[in-house]
Amino acid sequence: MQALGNALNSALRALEANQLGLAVASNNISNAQTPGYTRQRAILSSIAGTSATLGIGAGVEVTGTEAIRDRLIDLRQRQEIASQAKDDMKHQGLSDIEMLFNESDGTGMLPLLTDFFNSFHALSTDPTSPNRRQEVLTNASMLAGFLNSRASSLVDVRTKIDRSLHEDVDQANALVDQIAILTKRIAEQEAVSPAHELRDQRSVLVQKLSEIVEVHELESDGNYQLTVGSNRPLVYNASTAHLTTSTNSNGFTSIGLGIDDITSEVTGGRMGARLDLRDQNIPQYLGALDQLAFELVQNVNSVHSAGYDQNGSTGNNFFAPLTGVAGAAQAIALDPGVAGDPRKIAASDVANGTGNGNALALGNLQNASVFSGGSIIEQYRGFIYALGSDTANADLGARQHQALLTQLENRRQQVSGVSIDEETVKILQFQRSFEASARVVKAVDELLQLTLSLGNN
Amino acid sequence: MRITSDIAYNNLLRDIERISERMSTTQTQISSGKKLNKPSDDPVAVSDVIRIQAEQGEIKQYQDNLATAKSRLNFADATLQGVETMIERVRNLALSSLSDLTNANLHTPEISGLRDQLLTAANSTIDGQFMFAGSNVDSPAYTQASNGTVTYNGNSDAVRVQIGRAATLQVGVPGSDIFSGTVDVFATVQNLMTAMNSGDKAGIAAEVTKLEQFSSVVSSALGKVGGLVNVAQSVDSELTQYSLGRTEQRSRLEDTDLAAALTDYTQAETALKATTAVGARISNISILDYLS
Repeated sequence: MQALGNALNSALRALEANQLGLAVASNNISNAQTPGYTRQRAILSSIAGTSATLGIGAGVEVTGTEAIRDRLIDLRQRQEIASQAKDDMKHQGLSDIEMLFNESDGTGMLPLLTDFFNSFHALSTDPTSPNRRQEVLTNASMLAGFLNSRASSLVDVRTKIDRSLHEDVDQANALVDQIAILTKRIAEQEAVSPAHELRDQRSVLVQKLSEIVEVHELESDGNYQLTVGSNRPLVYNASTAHLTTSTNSNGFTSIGLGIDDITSEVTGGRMGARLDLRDQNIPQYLGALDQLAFELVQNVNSVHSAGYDQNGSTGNNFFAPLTGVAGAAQAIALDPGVAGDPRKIAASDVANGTGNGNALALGNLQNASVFSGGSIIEQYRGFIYALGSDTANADLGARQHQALLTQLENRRQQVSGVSIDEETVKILQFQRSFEASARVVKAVDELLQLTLSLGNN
Repeated sequence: MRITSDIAYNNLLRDIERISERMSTTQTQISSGKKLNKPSDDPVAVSDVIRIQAEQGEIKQYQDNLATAKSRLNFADATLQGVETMIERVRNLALSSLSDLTNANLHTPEISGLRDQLLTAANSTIDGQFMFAGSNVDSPAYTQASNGTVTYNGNSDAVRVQIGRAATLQVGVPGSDIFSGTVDVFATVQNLMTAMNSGDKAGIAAEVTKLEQFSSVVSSALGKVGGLVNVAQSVDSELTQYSLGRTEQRSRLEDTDLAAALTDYTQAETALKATTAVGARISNISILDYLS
């Protein structure tokens, strides 16, 4: 009789275990499309028998559930997300800048440069013509205007990028708070039972945070910590540290944590890209434009002031002189004297103001190797090349990281993803097991009834 | 290896995106006719195109200058040919006076008229510039005082225009090299008229010699102008040739190879069709189909 009782008990446990297994499979199927969901498995183990049961096992029990995940893939994925988000943002920013200097359809600065120098050659064929003189001034002010507007557009882009850092910091802080709250709930729940879903949710949030800035996650001895920069904790268990913003001496946004300025430590993610654009790319392009404008002013003025205008006056500037390279592209403008009177263009190389030699010399500046990059055209070419290749490289980088990310996502899916077919087969298995166990119950029941009926006769 | 349906769908999505992007790039290349639509499309090619574009701008200006030069030199040529005819007429009148001294004074009014024409020719303008005034182009080359003396107001600088990076072309001959050079033609004609009026045979003969000298000055000037026109012509055709080569090179760099682009587009299209067709069959076979 005791054996029958044991059989009944183990069949009962099997029924329970199979129901739990079904529940886990059903949960997996329900979450097959949930982002970040990690498939779970019921852990079944057999119950050992005792001497009273002659060592026959007491059936099965579900000791818990486990989430099938590979921590290494998760960590690699976060890093790639940070790199991909960075290159993507950088590519977006550079594409915007690139459009300011689009030379492809006859717009852009090159035609203005050649028109400017050509108008001096045109003037040389007819140095007394007021129209030709006016044309020189018109072309010069268009060139100066282009440099002014592009330099200020670059400054505008930089300012906008700088302002966006505030949004990034706000979003990052909100995510940090949510991660800390989840960490607290995970600790609470894990004191009782596994918190797979909460962990999955936290993982998704850390991924989102990685899109903003590169972070590092460390979990050991039951303590959870999330750091940024050089090991500066953002989250430690349930406590958080917020990123802060302040304005530095250049008027740009500095990123702080606690009392420290961590701007230089921020890498990866959108913030990393914005800091790169703001502190490296745009200053480089602005510097190139400034250098070009400054040298243009210097060289044109030095030739112009050697010549004579129609009134026989000499030593005059064509462009308003600049004090330094910084801000030259935004400041370049015609000298007020020339701007108001085309007769003051020094086309002549002779004192009575009748020749065209200086107009020729001014026109020939286009190819003169007096600029730091060779001729002015070569210098401009260098600038466009740098801008183009920076943009192309950022695009390439974003694509490469995207490809890696896809591979990692597939790897994660291989390990942690839900396969409907697999779960369906599991359901079948549990179903059959359940049916078999139910049959055992029925058999034991029949045996018990038989046994009881023996006593009645 | 576990393959979940998500992996299949992720890959499908990525592939469709990639092919669509390729199609969109090719489409832009076909519709804009250019494969370089922004610097990052091909930074090296774009910077090469910039250099070529700058050169083309330069060449255009040189050709404009050459056109100006040619029109001025041709005009100078025509003017000097006129001068040659006038001088020939003056010389013939002088020669006939030598054989018929008594009627010599009858020819002086015509010679006086020819002298005025000479002055007009020496002061001819093109594009509003006095052609024979050297570089002093905005005031008349020669002015006549009330006593009939003609003086040169120009200078000896020839106007030059740029026709290449290191090449300039003279676009005129200063009057000081022609009308008031080795022979001052106005003084000569004036003196001839005085000699004819007074029947001074030796005087007439002396001036005729000077006129002949002047003729040779004019024909050498004509030769020089003709030479300059030839230079302008040949430089112009060289530039045209060079510019054609550059245009071709630029087109190779930036223009879409339509045949290649269309082939590429068709390939992408086929790939997209195949990908979507395969995509539609993902999970077509599921274990669920076999359980009922």
